[in-house]
Amino acid sequence: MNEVKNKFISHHIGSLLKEIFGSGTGIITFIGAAILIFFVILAIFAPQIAPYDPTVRVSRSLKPPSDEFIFGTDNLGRDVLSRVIYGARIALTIAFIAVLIAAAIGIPLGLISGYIGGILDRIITLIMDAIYSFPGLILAIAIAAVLGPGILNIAISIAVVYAPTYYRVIRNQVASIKDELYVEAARAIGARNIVILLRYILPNVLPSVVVVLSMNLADAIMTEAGLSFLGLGIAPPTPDWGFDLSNGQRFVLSKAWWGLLYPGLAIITVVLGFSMFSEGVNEYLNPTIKEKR
Amino acid sequence: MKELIRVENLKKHFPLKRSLIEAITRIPPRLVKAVDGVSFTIKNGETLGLVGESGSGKTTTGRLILRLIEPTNGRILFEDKEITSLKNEALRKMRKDMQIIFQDPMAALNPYMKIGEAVRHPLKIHGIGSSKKEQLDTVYNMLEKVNLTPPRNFYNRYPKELSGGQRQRVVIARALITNPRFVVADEALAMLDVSVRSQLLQLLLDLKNEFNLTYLFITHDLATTKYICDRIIVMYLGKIVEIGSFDDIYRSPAHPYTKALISAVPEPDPKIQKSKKKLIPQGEVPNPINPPSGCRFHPRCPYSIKNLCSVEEPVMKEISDNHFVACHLFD
Amino acid sequence: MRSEKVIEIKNLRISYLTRRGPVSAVDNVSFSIMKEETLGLVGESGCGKTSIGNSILKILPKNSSIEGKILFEEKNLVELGEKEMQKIRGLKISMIFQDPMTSLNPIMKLRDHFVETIKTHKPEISEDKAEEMAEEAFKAVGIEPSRLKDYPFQLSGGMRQRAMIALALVLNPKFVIADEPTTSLDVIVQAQILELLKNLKEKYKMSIMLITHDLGVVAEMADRIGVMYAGNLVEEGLSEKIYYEPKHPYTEALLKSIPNTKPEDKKLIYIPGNLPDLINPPTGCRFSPRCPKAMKICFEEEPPIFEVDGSKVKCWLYKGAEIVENERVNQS
Repeated sequence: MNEVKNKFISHHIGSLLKEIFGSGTGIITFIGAAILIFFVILAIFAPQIAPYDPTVRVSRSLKPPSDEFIFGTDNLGRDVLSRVIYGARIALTIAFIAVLIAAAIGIPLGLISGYIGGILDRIITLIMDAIYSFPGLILAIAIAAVLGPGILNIAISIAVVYAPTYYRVIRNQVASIKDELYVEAARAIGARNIVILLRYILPNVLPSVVVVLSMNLADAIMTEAGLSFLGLGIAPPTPDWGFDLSNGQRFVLSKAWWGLLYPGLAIITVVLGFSMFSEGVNEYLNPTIKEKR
Repeated sequence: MKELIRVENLKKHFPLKRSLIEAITRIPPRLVKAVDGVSFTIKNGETLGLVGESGSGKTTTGRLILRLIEPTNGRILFEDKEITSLKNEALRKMRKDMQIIFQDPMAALNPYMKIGEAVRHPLKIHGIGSSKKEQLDTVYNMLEKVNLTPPRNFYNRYPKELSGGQRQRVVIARALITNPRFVVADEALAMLDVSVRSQLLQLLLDLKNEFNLTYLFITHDLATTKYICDRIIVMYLGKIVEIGSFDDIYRSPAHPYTKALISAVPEPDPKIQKSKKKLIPQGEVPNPINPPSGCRFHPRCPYSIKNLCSVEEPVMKEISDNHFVACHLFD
Repeated sequence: MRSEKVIEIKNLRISYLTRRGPVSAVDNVSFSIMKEETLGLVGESGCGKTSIGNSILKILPKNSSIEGKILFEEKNLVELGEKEMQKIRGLKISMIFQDPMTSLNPIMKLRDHFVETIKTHKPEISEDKAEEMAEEAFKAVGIEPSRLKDYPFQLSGGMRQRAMIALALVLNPKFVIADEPTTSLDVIVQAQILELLKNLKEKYKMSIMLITHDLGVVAEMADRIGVMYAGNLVEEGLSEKIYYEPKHPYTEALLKSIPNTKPEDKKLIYIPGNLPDLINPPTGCRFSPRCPKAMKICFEEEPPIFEVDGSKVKCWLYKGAEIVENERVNQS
């Protein structure tokens, strides 16, 4: 589990935060949750909150922040604030879809592999380890380049990167849980393998899935932004933080810093929010820290 | 009394992991001879005690009879029907009639399953009861029988919310819900506190009478056997050393090991304590990978006969009515 | 010879802070142990016997708080700091645990355990001398000194417990706490270890506090017995008195519910009900909900400790007898 967690950048951020805040995990979790709720509300109510249509020219290009356009406008005269708000939609949607796909691949494979063992286990483990050993972003770039743009395609590219983390956690836990006495007890009452797997083993590995899931979301958002930044993401003019970031940095030299700053801040804040939140979830679900009584 | 279980020459040898060199040079894996040729019968309605120290093979024997692990050799008969080679569905169906109560009730219960669901699960698995309501009634009934009252309150609790004794009651309820014929109680009372232990022993006795059960009562604690066991088997290092009625074993133990075991039980009465003569053998149970030759107890036995006990394995002899012992002293 | 108190515990209270609230694990317990005496502390799980043992060495978990006095060599251990405690642990008071496998460092050779313990307390002793002492200690507990070269896992369960005892006794402490020293062992090995402890006690002239749930084990070893129930010391007296003339209804029920070795006595007697929840202990006497002899006052007021026939009993049945200690007086 720990070795798997190291794969996530968000895990390292979380540990760092814990160092800074001391052991005040409660506060970290609370701030994290508040940030997440804020962004989820932005995403859901984007049409109501955003002052302008994010895809339409509403002013002249590269207008600095003013009362009219709080975050300024970009090179095509679109409102940066509205784009950042709408960008939350894309970022969260892709992250959630990617995480769900990754879990949907990793969990069943992990369950089967860990429970049955033998040759099958070795083959699946070999494939998953091969994927796992690739640097995440590079692998996602390769897959995204093959699949082409589109929400689902990006989600799949990210999912492939993170499926092995679910697989590893689940497989290793199942392999040890299947020797637990309550699994033997289930066999003794005559339960079929599929029943043992779903009712006796799965509920016991789910807490660690939740931990991986929450860390995975933060990393998925970063990977998505990375892909868009490199032009492998959503096709313009859809508002997307990663794309806006790369678009904005072209005009920094002409002193238009706002096009770069605000999408960047959005990415940083949301990733931080997920990292904080996942650190709290992790602590709460980690049985070794839990009170023994 | 009719015979319910017959075990013939049952063996279980666990292979040890070989080192790389051993695997390459094709040296056969070394074996832990956990159970090494035991034969006995259990009559319908009786409680047979299986007594021994750790490493005696008593727990393995219980699991072998229930087919929870595969025997290396030997036969197991349940009501004259061979169950040694039953597979998949047939084996699953058989489990309705043969159940087990484990030592550690916390570990034997799925922490994420409500205890009512845990008790109901065997009914679902074996399709007993036509409706959910009927199954629930059966479960409530059983929870009441094991004194988890009121049952509706207990149904929705999780194992961690119960005390050790209550958890063991759940495990007992789950084992008996399908109305089995035969129950293995594997150190079922060992982890409980003294006052709770006697409560549950009484419960096991009551349930046995009510459901006409046959128990295999596996324990390391000779003192509890007197309340529940009709006959006792004493095991040492994978072999049976003595079989007899409770009185045979307790009042006139024949095998030197049985004698040692009985005299080692701590005596709470200070007067008896002081007058009691102890026959404590030296050393500990040897490693079952390389058990001693001949009689396995001979290196620790105070009565060991030179050139006999270390060479020749003693066979089972009937020394009085239904009292068997495997010892050269009775040749 | 036996008049000198080695350790005296006065009004000891230990509680643990848990998520559900504070657990009062030990509630106003007082007793003392004399020189060269073995006191058996008996009770079921959760009665507080292990907490008392751990509190003497101050090795309680962090979420605990402790009140009262533990007097040892004219010092109150409750008030001592960690540094001063380290000078006492292992040198003057040592502990034998239930599971030697978890209390010995698995990657340290047995010899190094000894050398480290000796050097910590007596840095002036040379390594060779320390090793000699270890060899002596091993001989005393019946293990070949050559096995000092082994790691803990290379020893069998009984041998490991012997090694643990040797380590506890190597500096010849005057007080030893043995917390369930034979619980994880088989009966025959248990008998061997008990025999060994008895012999060593004679040889080293130490006092022992034997913590156990097994009345049989206590009877083998103890001069006096303290019976604990739900954080209270309910009865304390000489072993034979406790066994033949139990005063407290809990002691009586406990004695009846343990299996004896008489084959003809097959009547099963047990204490109905469950152990109380120590977050909300019963008012009055903590045993009252399960007590067959409970009276009205038992549910209302906590009994003081009465002195009856040489034993100390915390039970209202003996109202009128001399009060050794009154709860409320000590609290104020």
